[in-house]
This record gives sequence, structure tokens and C-alpha cells, in this order.
Amino acid sequence: MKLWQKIFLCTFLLVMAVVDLTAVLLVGNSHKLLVQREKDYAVSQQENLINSLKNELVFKRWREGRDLLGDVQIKEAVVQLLEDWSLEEGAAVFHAGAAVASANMKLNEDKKAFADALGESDAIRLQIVEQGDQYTLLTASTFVLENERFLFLTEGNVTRIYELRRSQFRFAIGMSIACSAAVSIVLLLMLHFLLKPLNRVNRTVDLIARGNYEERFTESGSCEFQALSENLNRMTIAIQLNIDKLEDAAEARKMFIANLAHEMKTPLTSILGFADVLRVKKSVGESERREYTNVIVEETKRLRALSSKLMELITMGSSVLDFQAADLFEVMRGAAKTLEPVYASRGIQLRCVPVHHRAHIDRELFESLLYNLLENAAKASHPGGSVAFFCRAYEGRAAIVVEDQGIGMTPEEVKNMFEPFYMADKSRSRKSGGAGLGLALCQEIAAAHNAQIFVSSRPGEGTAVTVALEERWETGR
Amino acid sequence: MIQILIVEDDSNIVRMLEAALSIVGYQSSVCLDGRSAVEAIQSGHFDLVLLDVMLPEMDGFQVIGQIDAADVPVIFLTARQEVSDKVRGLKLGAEDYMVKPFEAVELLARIEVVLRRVNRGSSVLRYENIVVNLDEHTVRQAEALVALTPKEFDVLVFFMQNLDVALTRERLLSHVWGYEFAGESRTVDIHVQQVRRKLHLQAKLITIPKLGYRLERADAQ
Repeated sequence: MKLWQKIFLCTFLLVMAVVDLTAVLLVGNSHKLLVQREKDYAVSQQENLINSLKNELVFKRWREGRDLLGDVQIKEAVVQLLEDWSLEEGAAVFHAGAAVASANMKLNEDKKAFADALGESDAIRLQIVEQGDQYTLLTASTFVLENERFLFLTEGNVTRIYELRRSQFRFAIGMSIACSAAVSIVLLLMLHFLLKPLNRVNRTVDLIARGNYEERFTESGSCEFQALSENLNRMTIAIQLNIDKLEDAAEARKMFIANLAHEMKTPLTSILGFADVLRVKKSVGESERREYTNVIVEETKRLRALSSKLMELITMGSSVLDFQAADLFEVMRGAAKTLEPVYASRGIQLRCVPVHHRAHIDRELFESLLYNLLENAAKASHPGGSVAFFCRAYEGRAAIVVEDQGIGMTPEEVKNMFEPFYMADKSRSRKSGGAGLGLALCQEIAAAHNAQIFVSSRPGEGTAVTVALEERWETGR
Repeated sequence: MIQILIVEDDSNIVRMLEAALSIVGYQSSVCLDGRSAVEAIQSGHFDLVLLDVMLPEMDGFQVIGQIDAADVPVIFLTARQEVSDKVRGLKLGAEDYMVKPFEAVELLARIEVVLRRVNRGSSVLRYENIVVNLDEHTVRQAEALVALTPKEFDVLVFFMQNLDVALTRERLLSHVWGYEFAGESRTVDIHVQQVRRKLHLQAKLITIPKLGYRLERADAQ
């Protein structure tokens, strides 16, 4: 069942119940009042009749000059009076269980029994008797004339009251039907108007669910719907951002794999080609053989470098870092020592400045970071040049700097240098055995340490790479 | 003499291509980037261009867009093996598309096919007293016609186009029969024996253990 149907049904039933109940109670109450008025009227009429009867008897006594009237005279007087009154409604007088006089009244046992039940008491009895579609109000009371107790019974037709009630009920039913129709129309219009924003929100949600994350809710209805729209908008923006992020990550991964495939296939092409030439050619000269095999070895080394850097990058992503307090200078010396032969073979001087500072780092990974930076500095340096390697404060943070006076980089190259497989000078980089992954690895390690790498470089003048650690620079640590 | 232009930025691959092309005696020139390649193609007379797709400055697709591919046949060399790239290359007018890495002999075979298709390869091959006319599809030895089955003819032609080059059974299979299927090397052996017998090449068409066969150059000694 839909919400609007539920609301409609509940409200409709409630309204109709209240309306009908009110109508029933009103009609019932007014009927009761009318009945009471009839009864009061009947009682007062009877009292009037009895009083005038008594007066008549006193007058009769005085006229005839007697102290007491006899039974017969009393009965005569009563009969005479009833005739004189010519009542519209029936009346009867009983004495000692027998009717003395009656007018307009059909006497039967029921009425007599009703009157007799009064007995000797002074009370007044009232009863409404239903007979077919006629309602009769019976009123009985006693009075004493000349020491004799008489019963007085009157009846009045009250059918009109009941007819009035019936017609009022009929009117109430009619009103109720008309009211229900009106209430339904008003309710339906109201619900349609009130739930319209919900439908609009629902349509937009549906569009978003189909993948149109650019859709926005523009609800201006009641404030609940506005709040709902705002929250939904916030949710949609969050979803869109997440999806964009995922798409970017997927795109980056795709690029990485495409680049990796290219970087692997290039050396493989030379290796396979030269190996095939060596295999199929009938005679290969000594110098040719040496040239071909040299290329094969060189390219195989390139593949080896690529695979080891790749492994480092992969293990970097999954390894748990082991942070320990270490003297940065010790770590720097470790990296420098590993690269000593490389620097020596190119005639480059590595100036490692002994400044001690303690920091929390993963020693192995951090040494690998420094190793990669030093290796790049060596590749960029001219033979006979020098590389400065030192520890200092950088904007209040402990930092390590690798500064060369080599070929330098253009701003464009600096911008891309951390991209995997990016090589500023492809042929040079390949000749020196680079895979294009070293700086990407450095970036990963730095990120794991919450450290940042800053690069300043000028073509022809050299490059300074600063690794700024998370920790503050404190003199004397 | 066939002139081939190599457009490739990796110096080792360039050296490998030069070495491979020299096996069958093709002359080669080299361009290291796309821009100079366009100039070279427009000014020079090359019979074929080996074009790398990923080049500095201008990629291979752009290069082929700037030259008239109908003038000079182009074979793409690329590390990208997506079908869409292949279709794009062929639509731009390339004759063939080779995915790196590849064997030197496969490259030579593809070059041969392309050259023949554009009528730049010679239609008459000679070896000692054997004359093969590719157009007529005939083989004459000492002026006498020799009857060969079509497959035997293809095998002979492939050997004559690759003098002094060792051809593996797999290479022969894929070139002559058009598929690479390791289990069928017996078929190759039977056909090579037939060629050997019919043309009396027992001393020249030699078996190289664990590799394949080689037709030795006539003036090798």
C-alpha cells in the first residue's frame, strides 16, 4: 500500500468517525430533550386537569350546598368534566380498579395494568408505548376526591418526535455521505500537493541511481524536504567524489601497466632480436658477436633493474613500517657507503656533512629513499662534479638535502619527475640503467613517513632535493 | 638494392634492426624521431619504412598521417598490442603491424611479403643453376622445369629469400602454412626433404640440429 493511500485511508476514517459520532450524539440528545419536554408537558397538563377537577367539585359542592359529594355525584362530575374538556388526547379516570370515565381512549388491559401498578402512591408514572409506527406517551397519577382515591390516566401521541428523530438521522446520513465526498477530494488534493516534492526527490534519486551523478536536488518545498534534498546532495557529491577518485586510480593503474608493458617490451625487443640474429645467421664476426651480446647483457640488466624496482614498489605498498629512533647522519652514511663505487667510477665527489639529528624513521626504507636520490644526483652530475648531502632545518622541520651541480631540469620535468616511468632524458636514463621508477618509490616512502619532497632545479645549474620529515628540527638532538 | 628506413628512438632496437636487415642485404637508414622521419620519407626514396608508434615529438600515427602511405609501404613496430591500435594503424594505410618483441626472421619474412605485394621485391630469384619465377610460379633447374607442389614451391622460395639464414621449423610452418603449431613439424621435414631431392640440394640445404634448416649461399666457400 502506498503512503498516500495509507494517509488518505487513516485520515478519512478518522474524520468520518468523528463526524458521524457527533451527528448521532446530537440527534440522540435533542430527541431525549424533546421526550423530556413531552413528559413534563404531560405531567403539568395532568396536574392542571386534576386541579380543575378538584375546583369543579368544590364549586359543585357549594352549588348543591353539601359538605360531601357521593360516589355517584363524583363520577358524574368526572364524566361531565372529561366531556367538557373535550381533550385532544385520550384520558381516563379509574376508581377502585374500574374505569369511571374515559374520553378518546381505547381502554385495554395493558393500560389498566399500567395505571393499577401505581397503587396508593402519589407518584406519577410515565411510559412511552410503541404500537406499530405509533408512539404513545402514557401518564398515570393518583388524586384524592372526597377521601376516595382516583387514578388518572392520560395518553398523548408522541410519534412526531420519533419521526423527527428518524428524519434527522436520514439528514445526518446524507450529510455524512456529502461530507465524505468533500473530505476525500480535499484530502486527495492535499496529499497530492504535499507529497509532490517526495515524487520529485524520488525521480532525482532514480536518475542518480542510474549513474547520473551530476544530478542535483533542487527542492524548495517544506523545510523537511529541503533538508532531505540538502543531505541527498551532500551524499551525491560524496559518491561522485569517490567515484572520480576510483576512476582516477583505475586510470593511473592502467597507465602504469601500459607504461610497464612498454618498458618491459623495449629491452625484450633488442634481446629477442639480437638473440635471433645470432641464432640464425650462418657466420657472425667477432666484433659483431661482441656488439650483439653486449646489447643483450645491457638490456637484460635493464630488465633486472626494472623488476627489482618494481618489487620494491610492490612490497612498499604492502609492508608494515618499523619506526625507530635513528640518527639521520648514520642513515645518510649508510646510503652514501652503498653508492661509493658508483660515485668513484664517475669521478664525482660526495660531500656528506656530519650533522647529527635523531628522528623516528623506518631505517631500511629511508635508506632506500636516500639511495635513490643519491643515485639520481650521480646520474645528473657531470664527471668530476660534486654532490652535497646534508641534514638541516626546513621550515622548522628536520630535513635531508641532496644537492648536485649537474644538468638540472626544466619546470615541466620537475612537475612530472615523480610519475612512474617518467624519464626526463630517456636515452640517457636508459644508458645509465634507469627504469623510471626510482622517484616514484621515493615518493611512496616519503608518504609513508608523512614526509614531503621538495625539488628546486634549474637547467644547467643543478638540482636540490629536500626531504622534509614530520619531526621538528631541534638543535642538540 | 632495397632501401629501408628505420624510425625508432631506442638505440639498441635500432642496432638490432640494422643487424637483422643486413642479414638479407637490405640497406637501412635511421631516424630517431617522428619529425625527421617525415622529412626523410618526403625527400628520400625508400622501399619500405619500419615505424615505431611511440616516438618523441610526433608519434607513428601522426607520421603516417603526414606522408602519403600509398607511396611507400609502412610496417608499424609497437609495444602496444591492443586490437584497436592495430586497426587504427592499418586504417591509416600501414601494410603490416608487428608487436614487440619479435624474432628477426619474422620481421624479414613480413618485410618480404610486403615488398612483394607492392612489387618492389624481385619476381625472379636465382640460386646457382636454379631460377624461380614468382609471377609464373615456375622453377627451372638448368633450363629444365622442375615440378613442385605449391607448398614445396613456397618452402623453396622462403629458403632462397633467406640465404644463409637458419630457419626454424616453427618459422617455416607459420610462413608457409600460415599457422604456428608445434606438433606439425614432421610436415616441414617431409617438404624440405622433397625440395632437397627434387632440386639436388642435399649438400646446400643443410639440417642444423635442434634448430631447423639453412640454405647456404652458393659462393660461401
